[in-house]
Formats: sequence, C-alpha cells, structure tokens
Amino acid sequence: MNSQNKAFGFIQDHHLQLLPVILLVAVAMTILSESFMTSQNMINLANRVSINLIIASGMTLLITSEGIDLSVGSTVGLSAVGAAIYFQNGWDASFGPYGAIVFGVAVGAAIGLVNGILVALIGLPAFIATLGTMLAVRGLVFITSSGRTIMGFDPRFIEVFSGFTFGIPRAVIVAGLTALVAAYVLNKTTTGRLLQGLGGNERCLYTAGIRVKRLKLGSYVMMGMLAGLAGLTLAASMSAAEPFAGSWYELDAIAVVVMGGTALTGGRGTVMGTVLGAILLGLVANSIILLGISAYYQTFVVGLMILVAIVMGSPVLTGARAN
Amino acid sequence: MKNILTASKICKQYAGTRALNEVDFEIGEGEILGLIGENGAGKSTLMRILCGIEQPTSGDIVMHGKPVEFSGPQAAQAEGIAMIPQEVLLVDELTVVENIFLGHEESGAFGLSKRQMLADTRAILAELDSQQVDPEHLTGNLPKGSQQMVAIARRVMQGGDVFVMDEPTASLTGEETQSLFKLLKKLKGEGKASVFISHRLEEMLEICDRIVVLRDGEHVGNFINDDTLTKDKLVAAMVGSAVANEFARTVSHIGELMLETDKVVISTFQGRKTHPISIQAHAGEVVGITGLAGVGKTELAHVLSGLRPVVEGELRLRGRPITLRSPVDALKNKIGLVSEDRRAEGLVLELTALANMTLTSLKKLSRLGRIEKDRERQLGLLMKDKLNMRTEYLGRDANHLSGGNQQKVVIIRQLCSEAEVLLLDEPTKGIDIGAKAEVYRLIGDLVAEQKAAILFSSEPQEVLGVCDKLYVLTSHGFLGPYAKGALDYAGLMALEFGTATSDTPMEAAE
Repeated sequence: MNSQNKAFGFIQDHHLQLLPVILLVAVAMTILSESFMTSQNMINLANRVSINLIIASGMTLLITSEGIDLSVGSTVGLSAVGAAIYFQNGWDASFGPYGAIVFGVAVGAAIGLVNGILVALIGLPAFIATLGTMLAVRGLVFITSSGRTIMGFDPRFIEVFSGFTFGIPRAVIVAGLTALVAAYVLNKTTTGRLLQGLGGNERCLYTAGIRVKRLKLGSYVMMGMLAGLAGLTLAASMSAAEPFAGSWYELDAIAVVVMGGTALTGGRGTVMGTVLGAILLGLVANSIILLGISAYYQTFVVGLMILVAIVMGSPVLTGARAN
Repeated sequence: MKNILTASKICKQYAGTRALNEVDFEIGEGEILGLIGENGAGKSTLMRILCGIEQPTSGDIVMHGKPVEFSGPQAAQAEGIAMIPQEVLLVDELTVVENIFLGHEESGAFGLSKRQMLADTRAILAELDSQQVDPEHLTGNLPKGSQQMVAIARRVMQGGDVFVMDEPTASLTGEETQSLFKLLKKLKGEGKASVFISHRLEEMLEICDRIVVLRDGEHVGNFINDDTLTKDKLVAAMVGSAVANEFARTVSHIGELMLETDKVVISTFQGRKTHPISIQAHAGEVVGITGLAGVGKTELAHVLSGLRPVVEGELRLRGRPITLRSPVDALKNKIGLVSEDRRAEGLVLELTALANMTLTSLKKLSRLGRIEKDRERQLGLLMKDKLNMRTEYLGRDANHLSGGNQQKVVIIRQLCSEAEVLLLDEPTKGIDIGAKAEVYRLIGDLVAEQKAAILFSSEPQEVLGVCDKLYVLTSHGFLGPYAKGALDYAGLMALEFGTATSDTPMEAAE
C-alpha cells in the first residue's frame, strides 16, 4: 500500500499521469498491427509528434501565463512558405542555405510581435486578437504562395531538419531541445516564475512593480519564433511548402497542453505533461490510420480525449503543479 | 405612529466574533431613520439582515404585524423592503431607461411600451432634479453621482414600504444630496419609511426624524431629532468610554526625511478631488493616515505607489522630486505597497508562500536568469524567523495559508526587496488578534531598521496606538500632523465627524 502511494506520488510530482496510457496504447498496437513497430512508421510518428511538440512547448508557457495564441498554425504556414520563397528567389546565393532558418524564425518573431503588441500593449483579449492574426496570416500565406505548393528547397536545408544524428531523427532532436529549454525556463528561471505569477494574478504582479507588459510581449514573440521553427521543420520533412500547411496545428497544440495537465486558467503548467500529451495524441492518430478506421474518427477521438482530460484533470491532473 | 417593521433581539455571530448583540430596532410609517456608528459597529450587518442578504443567528422580525423570515433578498423585497446598496449596481452597456426598468419592463399588446417607460423615467428623474440625465444615454458614460441617482430612481420606481440606503450620499454632490432628501420627504408624505446610513452627521441631523447609534454590535442610543440634538451628543454616544489600545513598541530614532507630499491633490474613486495633502514620512517613523470610509485613504496609497496619478502638487523622496508613472517606478524608488485586498492584489494564490515572498527580489536571487533555489530558501528561512512562521508554510500554496500568514507573506515581500518606504493599506483587516500583534511588531522592527512606514487605516484604535504621527483625511479638509498622544479616541472621532476643527497642531514632532 505504502509503495503504491509512493509510486502514485512520484507520478504526480513528475506529471507522468499519461505515461501508463501511452504504454498501454503502444503495447496494444504492437500486437494489433504489424506495421506499427516498423522504422518507417516510427519516423512518421516522430515527425508528427515533434512538430506539434515544438509549438506545444511554447504554448505551455503561454497558457501558464494565462495567454493563448491561435495564430500559430498560420505562422507555421507562413514560415514554411517564407523559407520556400527564400530559395525560389535565390536569396541563398547571397546568404547561404541556412539563412532560410533565420528568415523563417524571423517571420515567426514578427507575427509574435504583432500579437504581443495587440495583447500586451493595446490590451485586447488574447483569444480575439490572435483569432484575427490567425486569419490575416493565413491570408498572407495564400497571397505569397499564390495558393500553390512551392518546392525547390536546398538539400542542405532539408538535411538540417530531416537528417539523422546517432540514428535519431533531427526533428525529434529539435523538439526535444525545445521542450528541455521550455521546462528549464518554466521551472528554474526568473522568467518562468513570473509567467506563473502572471497566470495566477496579473494584478498582483502589476501592483508589485513587475514589468507585466514587457513580459507578455516577450511571451508572444517567443511563441511566434517557435511556430516559425515548427514551420521550417514541417517544410523540410515534406520538402515542400503548401498553402494549407499548419492548419489546425494551434488546436493540436492547445489540446496536448491541456491533456498534459496545464491549467487553462493559468498559474500552473507542466512541460513534461505536454510532452506526454503530444506523444499520446500522435500515437492515437497513428493507430486510427493503421487500424484502418476512417480518418473522420480521428477528430472525434481527439475531442473526446480533451474532454476526458479536463474532467479527470479537475482534481488529479491540474492539481499537479510545477515546483 | 404605526410600526412598519419591528426587529427584536437580533444577534449575528460570525466565526469567533459577535457582530450584533440583541439589537432592537423599529421603523414607523413615514419615518426617516438614521443609523450611525463607527467602522465595524454593525450598521451594515444590521442592514444586510433587514434586507435578507444575511440571516440573523437569533432574533425576530415582525413586518406589518406579522412575523417574517427573510431567506434571501427576494423574500425581503416581496415584503416591501427596497435596498439601495453602497456600490451602484447598474449595467453600463444599457441606457438609463433600460436600467431603470430592467427585469420589470412595461409591455403592451405589441411588445415593450417604450414610450411609456421613457415618460415614467423622465418623471422620476425630474423628481430627483436630475432632468439633465438623458434617459436614452448609456449609463456607463454618466458621472458617478448621476449613476447613483439612476440607481435610486430604479429602486423607487419598483416600489416598496421601507427604503434602505447604505451611504447613498458618498458619491453625490451637495445639490444631488438635497434632491435625494426632497425625494425622501416625498416618500415620507406617502407613509413610506427610509433607513439611512451615513458618516456625515450634519446630513443626519438635517433629514432624519430619529437617529439610532450602534457601538460594537449593540444598540447604545436612540435620539429623537429635535432642536437639542447636536453632533457632539452623537459622537459621544458612538465613542462611549472606549480608549485607544496601546501597542508596546520601542520608539526608534527618527532619521532623515524620506517621502513627502507637497500639497498633493488626488481624485477619489468617486471622481472627487481631495483637499491638498501634505505629509512627511521620516526614516524610523510610523506615520498614520486615517479617516472615514470614502475620504481617499486607499487612493492616496495608490498615488504613492504609482497606481494612480497625482492631480496637483509634488511628490518628493529624500527632498528630490519624483514622478511615479507606474508601480515599476515605485519599486525602483524602493517604495512598496502592501495592498488592502490581499487575495485580489497582494498574492499569487497558486504560488508557494516562498515564491510570493521573493516575487520582487528575483533579480538578486538569480544568476543569468536562473533562480538559485538554495539562496531563495535561505532568504525565506531568515524571514520566517522574524515572523514566527512555521518552516513548512514556506512550501505551501499561498491559497492555503490563513489570512494572518498571508498578510505576513505580503509584508515579507517588501522586506526581501529592501523597500525603504512601506505603504500599508489596512494591513490588519480581517486577521485575528494574535496575527495583528505580530504585524504591529513587524512594523515596529521595520522602522527600527530606519525604514519609513505609512499606515493607512480606518481603525481609530490602531492608528492611535501604533503611529508616531497621525494625519486625518476628512471631507472638509486635510488635518495634521498630530503627535502620538496629542489625540485621544474621542478627539479623533470629533475630527473625523467634523465636530472639532484642527486646533491642536503638532509642535513637538521632532
């Protein structure tokens, strides 16, 4: 009994509640589907999870501070198209193939800055402001790409994000590093502490003399840059930039953050929970395809998972807090 | 005269404290009754019970000759009790006429009878001499006084036998107050009664037929308002024989002049300008700012901490003029606010007590942005010893601490960030006696370390006992400084209620 309690405590302290579910699904799928434990499937799965996780890591910090960004999916699209245009216009001749990375991230930062100005300086509700930029930026994607898929990336650029290091896909490495940095910032740094404070009681931080506006502005720029990075990873993995690239990614990201146990009301967040949430979401989507179930069920199942997580989360998952 | 309402032996017990003790209370037909008492005497509690917002612990209420029990505000309303609360409750986004008829819309065969409602609104506003208020204007855009008039109009329109008003004149101009009194007299003519709470004794003497005095939850006086009744008699009844509590505190060395306001005019939450305020706070000194509710104490604390702008005049720190555009500037100048509302403003409830303590001193506890948790904990341990807090509380969420411990955490935050001027707005509100004593001791320790403390409090006992020097904010002027001992309880009350003028200036301040 005592050791059981200990194990339960360990799981709570480290936000590992989703781990048993993940293991269960993985074991079941290994038995049910021959193509599950193949390297090709694992790479597909890893790519999908990674791109979501890059965004969701940033979204964890943002939601912990009681912010939200609905424009990240569109930013993914614009960053991908931006990188494609970089090569199309031959800018790599002057700035090299890796300049596209800087360009894509800068595009994301610029959109983040616009969001930050709208939310932090003008004071619009984040939900409304980023809904506006979500549509406007998607429009920009259509305009700049003329609605067509653009190819022609430099192989060296593609290699950065879709190669392997020690047999691990680069996308996984990028996402893993992003999540590590996000966890470090949230739990170990001044910024993370203040983001939790901001989500808990903005008025308290303001009256105490904390530069609340600058903190908020910074968090949206950070979110934009990560969405830009996710866009580059996506473009490299497809070797193409589609005008619809990144659609719905904002909802996937928010979904895994909530499933992981971060409180939508702010003040409490867990990157570990988000990592597990992203893995579980990717796993379930992959399983549905492998089992030959209609893809239409995927959206339905994801919706159910979010609802279950929120209901279960009231005492169990959201009760978990960052140390 | 027939009684509309008779309440007998009303008791109200809150956890640990008795707010009302066997209070008898009656209201006759066509009577305008005044209810007075100092802060915490039980006026509002009694009103809330009569209006069904709270239920008495024991006691009976008889209305129109039959016993009643008000299970909620609707029940009281159904019996004819109409309450006009202190805070104006209107929907800003609706027009005046929509607000007045909200939930009681008049309708004809073809939907709402807008023309009828408009005419009725104009009529009631005219009775309140508020013709300048456009009934089709959005309520949110009206000045505070007009909003209050609309709220009163709304309540009168809905009818009732007893109108209960808690400080209705606080946000009204002199003219508006007179219009309200005209309306009260008209209601009186119709046989309807009014109960009226106000701190302004001259208003009470002007309009009330009878004045009831409460003190410490007891009914201590019942005065028929005839020519012999004076403000002094009322103040004497409110004060009784109470004396100021002494809080033993070693008097510290008075150091250099820290924060100073030079004829500073501020605007209150009601949008009224105060008289020019000139205070001086020295290192090693506890300065008290006191006054009745609504005179601008909290607003002054907000001005000194950068939350509200200065309207006129100058702020100086160590003789140097300063401008506080936001709390960021206040923190830079080492001025720290301990706000009145701990839960809404003072704490992040989701963070631990320790994290709340170090919220504004993270910079010095971190290297390259990384919080050095050992050093943070060391600082926390040092601080909790100063306050007799148990070590385990440091790791507990602020939400799960008692009010007293929460207050300590907020004050410790100022110690951690090395604030040199502390603004304490009602620091002992809602905490128990033991915790109060600790907070006073802490304030004493702070000034012993040559910090300046400014205590904003409406508790006379507290400011008289704790402060080295006292200023009194009133609606008729800014008074002080008074040295410790220069004022006693009755003297302070007389100043606050305007029965004495400032003729005891402080001479031996330094």
